[in-house]
Amino acid sequence: MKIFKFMTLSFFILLLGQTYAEDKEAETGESPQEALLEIKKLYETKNFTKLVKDRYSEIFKADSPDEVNKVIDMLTKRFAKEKNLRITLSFLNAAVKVEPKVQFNPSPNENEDEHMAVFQVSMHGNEIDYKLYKMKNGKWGFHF
Amino acid sequence: MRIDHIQLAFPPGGIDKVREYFVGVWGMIEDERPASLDRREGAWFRKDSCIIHVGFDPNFIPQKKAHPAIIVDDIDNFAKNLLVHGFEVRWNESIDNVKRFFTDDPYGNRIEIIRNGDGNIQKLVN
Repeated sequence: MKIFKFMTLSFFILLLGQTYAEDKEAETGESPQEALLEIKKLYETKNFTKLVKDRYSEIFKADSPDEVNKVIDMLTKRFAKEKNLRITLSFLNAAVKVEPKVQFNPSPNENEDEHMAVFQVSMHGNEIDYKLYKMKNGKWGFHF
Repeated sequence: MRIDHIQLAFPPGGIDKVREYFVGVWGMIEDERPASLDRREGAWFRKDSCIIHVGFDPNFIPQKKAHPAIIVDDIDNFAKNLLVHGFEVRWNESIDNVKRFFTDDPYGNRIEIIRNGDGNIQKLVN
C-alpha cells in the first residue's frame, strides 16, 4: 500500500514538473522554427521595421534611432527589387525545412541568453548555417 | 610583385549603396582617403590585407567577365551574409578542390569569392 502511495506521489510530482517545464517554455516564448517562419513572413510582407526592431538582436549597438532607420531604409530599398527578395526567400525557405540544432552560444551579446539555434542549410553541396540567437525577451533573433 | 589594391567602378551617385555593401554586408571598414582625392567621387575599403577602392565612372558599364577574386576565412558564412541581403551566390565547381562562388556587387560587377586555402596564390606558396 505504501509503495502504491509513493508511486502515486512520484507520478504527481513528475506531472507537476512537466507542467512547470511547459509553462516555462510558454513564458520564454516561441520555438526557433516559429521564429524563422515569422522572420520569413516579415521579409515576404516587406515589414523591415518590425524585422529590424523585433528580430535584429544586435540593434542595441546602434548609436541612435537614426542608425536603426538607416538599416530599415537600406533593407527596404534593397528588397524593393523582387529578384533580390526571391534570393533571400529561397534561402529562408530552405532553412525552414531544416530541424535546427539548439546549441550553447559561447559569446552572447547583452541582448541574448546562452542559446542559439543552427539551421544547417544544404545548398549545391555546401552546408550554410543560418543562426538564430535566443534573446532575453524570449524571442529568437538574428545577426546580419 | 604583389597586388596592393583593386579598384571597382560604379555609376555616379551610388556611394550609399557601395558603403552599405562593403561595410554592411562584407564587414569591411572605410578608410579615409587622402585630401588630394576629395574632388573625385570614391571610397576606400579595407579588411585584413584586402583593400578595395571604388571610383565613380560617368560611363559606367558593369564588368561581367573581368573580376577580382577575394579569399575569405569562412566562405559559407560569407555566402549566408550575401543571401540574406538578396545577393546571388553562384557556386562553381569547375576547378577540383577549390571551393568558390561568384556573386555581383550592387551594380552588377562580377566578384569571385574563394575559400581560404584554395586561392591560386596560396596553392603556389604551399
